[in-house]
Amino acid sequence: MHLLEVKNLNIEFYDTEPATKVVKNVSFSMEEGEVLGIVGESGSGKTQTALSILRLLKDHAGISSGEICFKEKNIADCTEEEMNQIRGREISMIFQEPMTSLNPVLTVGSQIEEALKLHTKDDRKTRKEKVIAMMREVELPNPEELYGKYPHQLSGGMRQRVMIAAALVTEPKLLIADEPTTALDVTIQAQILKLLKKMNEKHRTAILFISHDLGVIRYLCDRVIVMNEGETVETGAITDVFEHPQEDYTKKLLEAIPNRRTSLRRRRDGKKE
Amino acid sequence: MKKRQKNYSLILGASIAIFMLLLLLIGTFYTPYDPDAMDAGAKFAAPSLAHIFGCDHFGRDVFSRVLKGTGNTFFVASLTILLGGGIGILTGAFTGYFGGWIDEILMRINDVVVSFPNILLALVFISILGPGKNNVIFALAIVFIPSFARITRSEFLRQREMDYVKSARLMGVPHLRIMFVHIFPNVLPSIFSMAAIGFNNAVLAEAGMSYLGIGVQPPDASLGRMLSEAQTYLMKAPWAAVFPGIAVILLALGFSLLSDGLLKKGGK
Amino acid sequence: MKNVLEVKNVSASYKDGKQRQEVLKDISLEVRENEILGLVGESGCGKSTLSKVILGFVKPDCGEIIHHTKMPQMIFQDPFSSLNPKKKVSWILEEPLRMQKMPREQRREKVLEMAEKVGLSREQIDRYPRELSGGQRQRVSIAASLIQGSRFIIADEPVSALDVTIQRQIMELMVKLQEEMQLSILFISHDLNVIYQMCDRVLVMKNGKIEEQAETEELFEHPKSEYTKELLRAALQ
Repeated sequence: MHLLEVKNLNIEFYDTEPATKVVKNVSFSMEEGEVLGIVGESGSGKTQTALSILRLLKDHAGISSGEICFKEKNIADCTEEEMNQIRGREISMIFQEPMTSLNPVLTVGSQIEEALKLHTKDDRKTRKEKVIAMMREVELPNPEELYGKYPHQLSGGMRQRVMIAAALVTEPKLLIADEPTTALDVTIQAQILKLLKKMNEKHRTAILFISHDLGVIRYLCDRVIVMNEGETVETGAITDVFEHPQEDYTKKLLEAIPNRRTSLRRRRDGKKE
Repeated sequence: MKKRQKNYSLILGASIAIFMLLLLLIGTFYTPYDPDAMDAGAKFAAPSLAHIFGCDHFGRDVFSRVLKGTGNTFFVASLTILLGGGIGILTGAFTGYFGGWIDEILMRINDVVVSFPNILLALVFISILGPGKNNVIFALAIVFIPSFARITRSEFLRQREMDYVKSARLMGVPHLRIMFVHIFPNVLPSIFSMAAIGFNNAVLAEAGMSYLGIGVQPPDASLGRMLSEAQTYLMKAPWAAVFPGIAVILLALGFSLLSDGLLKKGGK
Repeated sequence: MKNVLEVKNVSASYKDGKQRQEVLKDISLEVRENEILGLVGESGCGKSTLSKVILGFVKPDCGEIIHHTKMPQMIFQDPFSSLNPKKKVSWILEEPLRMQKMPREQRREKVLEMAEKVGLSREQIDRYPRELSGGQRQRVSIAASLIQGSRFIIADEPVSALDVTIQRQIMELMVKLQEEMQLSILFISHDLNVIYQMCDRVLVMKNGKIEEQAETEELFEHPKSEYTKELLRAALQ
């Protein structure tokens, strides 16, 4: 049984005449505990694909055909209540901007606790214990003290840890991460990636990781889907795709990543040899 | 499927505004009767083919007076906006762009002016200057300066921080040119809609002041004056109040919708 | 080798409520003729403030800034806000020439020549900035910075907002122009890999101070400061 199966997914934007196809015939599946990366440039349709899994597409966008099955249940058939049960409980999501995805007037603790309130029958004390334990797990310093603080009192990296804690506190089966490290400094990014890897290994939480950054994808993911202009270009195990890319677009993309092997400066290259 | 919504405010606003401007244009060159000519025989005459809007208590043709009155009201409102808006925009542009102590002082004066209700302040000026068309324009213009200055200032403050302004400075473009050639076109949409709202308020303010008898002086027709005079005979000759009333409403509504529509268009 | 810019013992601070926040602490550096100097650091390290101080937008508390050439021009990160949205590209490119009182025909000629150099078509320069893609807009910025004859450019994260394939094109363009026109470029970036590919020398900044400066190969192969080592470890390849 697949944890998640996406079959011939097509997504259209209806605010233009005629409608724009932003995702074309995308199919993939994920197993429990797997880390799957979707990589692509802006306009590749990667974010829309991710949003459609939780039925979070904007009003002007819609699935024109195809199926998304979570644990063999078609999410298109779910009622809004059933969907709310899946969101946060079975599938969680974290976003790029930790500043705007946290509510500025609620304490950090209460925001992590929210999902527990909605999805469990735990009493107040158990909830708080679980929250503190989760905060410890995502390596937030002094969880007891931080529990009562507000998002603006935290650094960007800590906010992203809070987001991760809030997403994982209900022990979901799947975490969708949309560019969660893009807004962070490199040293913080490295810490967050390490944390995600740790959480994946410890809880067997499957992660669908959306990014434009091939370096990040390579570090974190088992498998990767390369998308371009709404279509799947190439898919495969991470080492296969990175070491032996089959498609021209993938090759071009890999070629373009800034690296520390070749300089663009003729002068310096000459010096090196 | 959803389609892009049509901009109804723009279409409706523009048609009403154009219609009113046409009436006004006709009024300046041609009226069926002399708007000030009294005809004792036609006193309180109901609308008919001869007088389509009827006649007032002096037997003057209401249609002719509405045509002339619209012109007068429009003239007062436009000059008010030109004068008040012009000064307001200049102040706002300089204070927003340069900042510093001039900005502090001017904005504090602004705060004081804004803290009085518009009409009240205009009344104070009129009581000093005396009634009359020119004084009404002058008084209203002063009252309208702060709102223009404020909007323009905040827009300039925002634009000043944009990288394109920094680029222009590095290229050696002088400040005045940056302000009026580089920044101004970007601020224009807000100023435009501000002017339309201001025009709207000026129409109502002029009507209000003429209604109170301190605006346009008799025998000149103004929509506000006509309303005020017709009030006494409202039961006897409702047409003398209804038609100028409709004209005020259309004038205000047309430009208000127009500004709304323009703002929506600018937002896209 | 001659210098185009010398910064000597510059400190700068911002007023943050009642306290003064020191953002640059005793910075000294020089930009040499015909080199791309990289300036790398994480957010809040003061690298953007440094560029503002060099350009005179922020007054330093103390220290000296000596320009040996014409005022440098700048290329910004956000290609949306760096081009006037109400002006056509050709107007934007002509503006610096207008300042030099160049006659109209000559201006047009010069703009076309510059556009060709940065890879913009005749048809693209008659459009408005919003009608161009991010990469094309950055080409316009580059053209605008060079058209006046400046040979010293400060580029603040010029490729950070772009997709990788576009990023690569702009990097290649900048390197090509540098070689053709003998430009000096102060290249500010948070991305060590971009810095590696572009720069001859690198300055590493942290908390308003210069942590380390060295030739690119030297810095990447034998980093001296702990912070540089940490950055190098964190930057994924």
